[in-house]
Amino acid sequence: MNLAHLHLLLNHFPTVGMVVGLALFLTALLWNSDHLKRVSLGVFLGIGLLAIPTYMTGNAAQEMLAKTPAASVPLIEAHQSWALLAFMIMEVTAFIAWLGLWQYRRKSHPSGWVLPAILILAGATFACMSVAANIGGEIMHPEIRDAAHPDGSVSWMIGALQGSMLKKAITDKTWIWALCETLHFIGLSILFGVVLLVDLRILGFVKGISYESVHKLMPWAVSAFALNLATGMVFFIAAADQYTTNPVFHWKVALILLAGLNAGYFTVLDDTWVLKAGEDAPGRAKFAAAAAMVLWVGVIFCGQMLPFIGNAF
Amino acid sequence: MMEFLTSIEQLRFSTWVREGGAIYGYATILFLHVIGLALVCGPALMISLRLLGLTPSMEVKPLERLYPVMWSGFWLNLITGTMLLMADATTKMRNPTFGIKMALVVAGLIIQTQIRKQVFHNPLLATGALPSNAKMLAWASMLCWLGAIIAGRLLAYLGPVAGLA
Repeated sequence: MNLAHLHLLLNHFPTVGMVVGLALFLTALLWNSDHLKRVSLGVFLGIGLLAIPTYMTGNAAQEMLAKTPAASVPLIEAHQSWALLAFMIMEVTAFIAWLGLWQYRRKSHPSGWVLPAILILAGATFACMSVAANIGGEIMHPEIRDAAHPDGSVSWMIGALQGSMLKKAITDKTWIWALCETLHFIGLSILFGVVLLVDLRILGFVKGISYESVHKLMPWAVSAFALNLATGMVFFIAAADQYTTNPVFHWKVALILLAGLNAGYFTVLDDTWVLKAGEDAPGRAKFAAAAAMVLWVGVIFCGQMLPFIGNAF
Repeated sequence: MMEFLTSIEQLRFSTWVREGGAIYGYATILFLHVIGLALVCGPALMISLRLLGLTPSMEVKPLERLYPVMWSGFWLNLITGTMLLMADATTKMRNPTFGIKMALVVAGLIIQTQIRKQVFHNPLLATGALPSNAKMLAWASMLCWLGAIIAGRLLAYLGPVAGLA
């Protein structure tokens, strides 16, 4: 199995997952079931995480297809543009879904704007993702392309989002790269700071504070992650091949997904939420805290090794 | 001065850091430097956020236990930073950005120890109150540590960049 295989496998999760997530969410809104609302927010968060490797393996598939005459290059570019748009709206949706879950944990309900915002964003994600999926299917299947437009209905596709234009804009200007690297390090410090404090509380090193009070800091960590995903995507778009062919980068993404699951545990479950100042955490919470430390140090390690083990600059 | 820097750069140890250790040399030292950065700046930022009043329900006193964590990060970075500097002395020592970074680190250390003295060791703390200058110290700490990160990263871009990123 190569990364192109993985793309063909993963691409079903965001598209089909969005249908499932939206159906669940609409049902939850109609029935006004808080339980079901929380489940659908969890689904959106999960799709947001899986969308990361889905988008990235797409670049690997593109590089492999570049050698195949049967594949239509304009279709690949249009697919990528729509996929990038869908990816960006998906990540915003997932971020607000996480915020909703966090607020559900703190109070009985999220802020008034959260659920409507998720509904609109999830709808927009689904629309863009459908276009991306439709074009994606046509890349290697001439038989399903519109006869009047043998290159697909590409002509009306967005031009401004063309991957190649973005790529040029980023690599032309050193200051964009330097700025994003600096922001990436600031994001790293904030994220690591919150993770460290949560972990030290759970492991009993800073036992004197309640879990509720560290839980309050979690939006800082998730915002810092969002900053690092955004700046990381700038690097990825500018030089995708140096990442898709880099085994350290594959590890980095895999570790991020596991760390995301771990963050979900610390956001929603009762295990840790009930801990008052001075109380000892249960064993599985301590295991999860130790795992978080290993995972995030691993993410930093892989990021730092990108130019050394792989070939990234 | 230049001869001195060059001679440091050409020590067998410095050469090993640069070229000899494959990923165990420069790459690993740089990775440890980033971990040290996270161990100093992460907890320092959390303390600042608390002092600025973002998590009023959080007890302040237990956060003093973050100080040994920050110190371990500091010593780790003093060692790894010296190694990185030796490997690239002629470019780093001539780069004003490096001087700015060092100044910010020293200022950060002073402010962080002042926070320990004036906030954590303040008898007021037992009553739940913070001294009136706590917020100012928190802002100053954030400014120094974030500034040090920014200057450190830009070392690879500003000044005579013939050296190592």
